[in-house]
Amino acid sequence: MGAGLRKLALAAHLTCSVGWLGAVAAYLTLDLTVATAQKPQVLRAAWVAMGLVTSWAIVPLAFASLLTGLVMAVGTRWGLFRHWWVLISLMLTLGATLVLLQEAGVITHAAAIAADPTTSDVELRALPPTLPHSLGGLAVLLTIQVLNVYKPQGLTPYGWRKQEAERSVARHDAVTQRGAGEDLAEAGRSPRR
Amino acid sequence: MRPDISTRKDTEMDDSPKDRPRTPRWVWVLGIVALILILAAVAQLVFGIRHGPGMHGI
Repeated sequence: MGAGLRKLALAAHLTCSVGWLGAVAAYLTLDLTVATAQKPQVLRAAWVAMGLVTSWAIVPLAFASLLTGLVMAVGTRWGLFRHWWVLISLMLTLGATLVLLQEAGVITHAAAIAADPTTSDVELRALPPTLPHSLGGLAVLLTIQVLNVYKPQGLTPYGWRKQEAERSVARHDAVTQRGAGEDLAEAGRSPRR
Repeated sequence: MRPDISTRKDTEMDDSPKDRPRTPRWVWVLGIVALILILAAVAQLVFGIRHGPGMHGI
């Protein structure tokens, strides 16, 4: 991947992943409102907003973050399975996306119930809370962010084997070039007949 | 007298097989935390423990 393309992919990945984090933070405020609000109209509005934020911000940003992260890993020297921080970030992102997809169905269903004017206040208060999932999701996303910023050292066994293979090839090339150079120098020193 | 590392680096070839690096400690810590959380989630599914505000009783 060229430098320009790499910067574009990095900008896209940063935008999507930080946007995902921000959307989850916005969702968390609504979730806290649902957990603490007493007025039915506040509950109803919060549930409808949670459905919209999930469908139009969190889920698309999660997929975009996963996709741009894969492009960044495959298209740069980091690779997808070479470094522990990349591999763990990938697994956490995949896990978070899978749990999100499962929860998104529950949230949009609850939002549809809340949006229905015939839903009673009792039914509104009985809707299942999603606070543990949003707190857990935020913790996972923060962990991924920390891993991506600090990039802690550590090669996976696969990454170590790849690195050793590349070093071996580099050594072989260096020895071959040195040998060719010595041959040329020797030829230059030999007297002409 | 200390060996001249810079000279040694240029003249010696390190062809000795290196040991595979150990898994970093932070990977173990994250793995153990993840395992505990997964086990907690499985226990919640198996035993049907409900969570969230208003679900803990008094």
